[in-house]
Amino acid sequence: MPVSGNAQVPALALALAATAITGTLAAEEGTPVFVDRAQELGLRFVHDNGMTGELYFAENMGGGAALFDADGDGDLDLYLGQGHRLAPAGDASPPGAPEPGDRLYRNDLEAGELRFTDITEASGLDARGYGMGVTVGDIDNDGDPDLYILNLGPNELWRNDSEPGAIRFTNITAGSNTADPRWSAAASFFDLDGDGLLDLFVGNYVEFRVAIHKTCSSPQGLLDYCGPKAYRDEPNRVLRNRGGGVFEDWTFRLGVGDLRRPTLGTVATDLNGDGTTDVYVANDQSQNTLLLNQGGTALVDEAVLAGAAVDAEGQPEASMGVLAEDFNGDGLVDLFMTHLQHQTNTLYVNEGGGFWEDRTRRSGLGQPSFVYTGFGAAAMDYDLDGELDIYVANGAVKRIEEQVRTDDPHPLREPNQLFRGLGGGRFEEVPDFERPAAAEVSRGVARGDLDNDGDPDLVVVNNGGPVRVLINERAPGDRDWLGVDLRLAPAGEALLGRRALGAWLGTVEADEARSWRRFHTDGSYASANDPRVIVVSPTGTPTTLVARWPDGATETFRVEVSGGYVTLVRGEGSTETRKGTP
Amino acid sequence: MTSREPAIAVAVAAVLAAALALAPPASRAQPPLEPVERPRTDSYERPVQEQLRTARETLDRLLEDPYADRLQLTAAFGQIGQLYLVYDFWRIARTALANAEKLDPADARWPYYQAIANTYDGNDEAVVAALDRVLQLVPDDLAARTRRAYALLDLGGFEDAAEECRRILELDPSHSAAYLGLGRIEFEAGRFERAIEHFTRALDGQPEGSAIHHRIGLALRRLGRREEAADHLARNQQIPVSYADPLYSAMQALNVSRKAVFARGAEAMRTGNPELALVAFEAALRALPDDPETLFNVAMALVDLGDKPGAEARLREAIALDPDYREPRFNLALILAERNDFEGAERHFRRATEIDPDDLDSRTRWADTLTRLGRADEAIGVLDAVLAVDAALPAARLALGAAQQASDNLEAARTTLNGVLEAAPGAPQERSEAHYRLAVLLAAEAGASGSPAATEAGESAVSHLRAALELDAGFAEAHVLLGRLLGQQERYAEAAGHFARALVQNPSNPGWHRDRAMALLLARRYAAARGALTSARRALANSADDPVAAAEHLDTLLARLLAASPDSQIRNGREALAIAQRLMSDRPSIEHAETVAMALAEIGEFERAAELQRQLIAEVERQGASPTNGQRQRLESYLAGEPVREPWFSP
Repeated sequence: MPVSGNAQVPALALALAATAITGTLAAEEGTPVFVDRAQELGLRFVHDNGMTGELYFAENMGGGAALFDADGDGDLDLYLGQGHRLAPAGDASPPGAPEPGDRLYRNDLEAGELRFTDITEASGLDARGYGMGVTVGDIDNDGDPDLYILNLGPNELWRNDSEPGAIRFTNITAGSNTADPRWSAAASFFDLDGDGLLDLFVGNYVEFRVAIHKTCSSPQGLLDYCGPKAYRDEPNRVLRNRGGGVFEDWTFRLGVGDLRRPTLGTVATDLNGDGTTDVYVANDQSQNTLLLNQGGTALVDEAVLAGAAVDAEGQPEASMGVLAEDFNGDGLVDLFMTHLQHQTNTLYVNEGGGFWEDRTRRSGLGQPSFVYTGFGAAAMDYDLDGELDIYVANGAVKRIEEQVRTDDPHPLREPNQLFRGLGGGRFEEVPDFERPAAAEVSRGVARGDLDNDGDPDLVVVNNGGPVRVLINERAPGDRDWLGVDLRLAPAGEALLGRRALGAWLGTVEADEARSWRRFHTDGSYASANDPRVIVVSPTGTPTTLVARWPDGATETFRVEVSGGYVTLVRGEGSTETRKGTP
Repeated sequence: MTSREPAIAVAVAAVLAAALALAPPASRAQPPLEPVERPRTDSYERPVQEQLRTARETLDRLLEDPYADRLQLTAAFGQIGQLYLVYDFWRIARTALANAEKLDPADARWPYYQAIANTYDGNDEAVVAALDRVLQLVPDDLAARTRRAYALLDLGGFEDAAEECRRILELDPSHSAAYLGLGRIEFEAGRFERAIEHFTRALDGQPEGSAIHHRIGLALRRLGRREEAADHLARNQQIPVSYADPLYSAMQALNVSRKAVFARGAEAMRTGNPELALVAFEAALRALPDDPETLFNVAMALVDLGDKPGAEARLREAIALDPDYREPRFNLALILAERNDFEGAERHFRRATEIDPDDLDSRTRWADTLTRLGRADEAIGVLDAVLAVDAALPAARLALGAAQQASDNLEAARTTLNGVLEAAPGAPQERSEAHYRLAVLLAAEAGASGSPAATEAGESAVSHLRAALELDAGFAEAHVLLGRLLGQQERYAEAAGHFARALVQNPSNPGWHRDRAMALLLARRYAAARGALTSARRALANSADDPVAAAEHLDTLLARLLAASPDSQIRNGREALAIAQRLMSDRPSIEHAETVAMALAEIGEFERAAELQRQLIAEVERQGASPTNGQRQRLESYLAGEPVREPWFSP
């Protein structure tokens, strides 16, 4: 057992992990690290954006994916949001063309061999809205993850009622007050008021509906997709969990009812170290929002004064996906955002004291992203070198002339990018990192260790195209790994307790906590990640980990890093303090 | 000869022609040129298509002409290059511009535009290389130097960038972009005081470039001067520093697409220049006269310019062209509601909700017009449906409260409005309105009886109105109601102050002028009252009220003030008599007769005053009524040779 007594280990997960390691394919130096295995794994999902030639704005913005362990068997299952034909009211789909609906795939990982099975119908997950995104959180503290599906139209709340061997979901939207009718693109579960129940921040975009579709043109006068400025911004919503699957709208009560900006990305974490969970909101072509939590009684936008609203030039950018991590290893929460072509992606480095600064130019992340439009993003240590890397899913929003000329029906294709962390907040682009090399219209990306081999894999959703399952096939190195699940106190004997979304996990080195990783499902774009954190260390070395829980309390766990997953439960470690908390 | 031969011959001819096009006779002595791709333009807007086709045809013709003038050919490559650049085909543009440069290496425009194309690629090295060629030709070109400095800065070549900025400042000592560049360099080097100096000079040269405040704020923050930093960060209105870039502007001006024209208009609107926006949108309208969106934009610019009738006409045209276009309907309804045409507003709001049933804002406003039309029950139905979708919408809850109030369901209205106050601390406008509406309810209760409960209701109404005004100091109706309630409490001076603040919001409301004048009279501030009456009289010209009755009332007050004010500075018996006699002549009445009597007494004509007063008392009695004490007292005064110096009107 790779744990020194104070961590709870799901035996099944470890067993699967151990078998998975042997199944890892070793990549040779210079060969692609990520290989798309979607087809062979049984994932033949093709995103349907419903294109009809009308160039409806929403068409090119979906979709998303969620990686989550629906049935608690220790491996990651996959939800994929689906679109459908968009048409004016009364203009129904032609006969014989049923709307495809969202899909749920069960991971049948066995003996290191990955396989996905479409269990949508059997699971009861019958979600047929025009999918725009998804977020995952345990709304009822029963230990299993529930789904909040974001749509162009009313959102849906699906409660996880799975039992061993049977994944089941129940639609509890009606009466839950979560059916926000706006175009929602991002959401974060977080405990707003510290009452132990996960509340919900819903990021809404703009007031587009087919009924009010506008005709927009490119600079050439070519018929093209509209941008957000063509429509009114929608307000975000904060839904407080009252328990029993019922939420109440606290947006106005918290003082953010009049905050209308076109949101595409959200992350919830304690950004100012006061022990409450704050929300950072990435907005498209509008300044970003930093909502500092005033003890659950109000949310106050401090982005401008914190230096996190606009770029170094003082200008708002078209923010899409967002990540909150400690990218430069100084123990403070930095922010990374993907942006429109000709803007560069942006890294806001936390200077401490509640201040951020745009350090994109020095990070190496700017120039390579200048010519692309970034959407989803994943922070991960793909090569297990102890430094966070960044994957960016790209895809244009305005039709690319060269592709129009080749009669490409979806001329928005761009290659995705991988940036290797060099330490100190510096990155370099990794060339030829994926196979097959492709230029697609990528949107959501979800990160998670699909095969439980200790390195992060990726699911990339391509708008109007096939899903990609990028399996990390790194060569084994001299460091070993430990995957960590963080749970709050168990809710009952049979339950593991809710995942500690918003917590941080650091590794103690030289008596100081370093390599902080955020434990989260949110961020990226339209997608939900596997929250588990992968810790790396020289093989067989006992290691001390520090969990900083969402309320700011810290707890230390002694573990042995030897490949496999453990679950650290609040209250089962020791409370000695360490330097270097995030 | 086989049947295929002609085709082959044609193909060979085409190849030869193409080869000839790119390989001119030795007499032209032109360098080897690269073929320029042709973007597909068939789906572009007509003006753009035509512009590109004309430019391309010119180029093709010159290429086919072995004796074409080299300068003409250069200009043709340059023109098509600029057009491709402005329409975002920068890679194709680069080829055309490179050809132009090869043909005329002495013309700095062509490497300059290539530098811009390289900027779009994010290739700063190539930007610098192209600009180096520009500066060899025109060493003092400020725009080229500015672009070069910024490209060097982005490349991390701080020393070279700083040298370039200093060179710019030698040529133009107030060049804000150069100071901004120097500030950025100093900031990167950690010399924050120096950075602030440069940023400040940049701001001095271009105070509207508010984005510099962001830079200053960041530098101050690094120096630990947090309060100053916060002040600067908050002052960033996101307007970047600009610099004169004539070649770039000339290139942009070539763009004839609707989007570009709209962008010019939208930028003008954003920077608070609706006149300029109107010029841009009207230019677009000339190109696309039947475009509903263009008409809508013209209308919005007109709204910003205060030309509501003009805006209304354009909105109606847009609707006629596209009956399913929601925005013009919504905005037309707003204009109609503003001028109290609720029937028209209702029709357009309703249609907007039919076009887009998910538009909660339109549905809420539609309900509001229904309430104003006396169809409160229908309004309640609409609002219930809205709140079923989004229970937290304060505007819908507020409208529901108003509808309940209008349908006499006062208890429900009170509950709904209190609900807005409890649930929406983040919606000051709606909370202010809810306070006002609650005050209206309470004021009605207060007016119903003089009981302690009514007094309490009056006090509570005053509290709500003060709360409403705390949230929205410019809420005119709340000021007016508060003024009236304070008047009932005989707090006339305070009341007059509130009427004055209401008039700041709507100076043309004669009723509010009259209320203010009355409050001032009752507060015995006669000079101010005279001024208020004069203003009220002027405001009548723009009033929708019955102007004859309102003018008569105001003139009566003025005549009596001039005849009987205790303030001798105000009194003017002759003027009072003239006004009073005119009133009497226009519409003889006891009230006007009494005013004439007051004026006669003021000019010393006591006998005539007494006689007139006696006659009007007799007339009152003849009509079966009893004369008032005031009327009798005034008769006694006239008989005693004394003018009136006591209150002479009923509040």
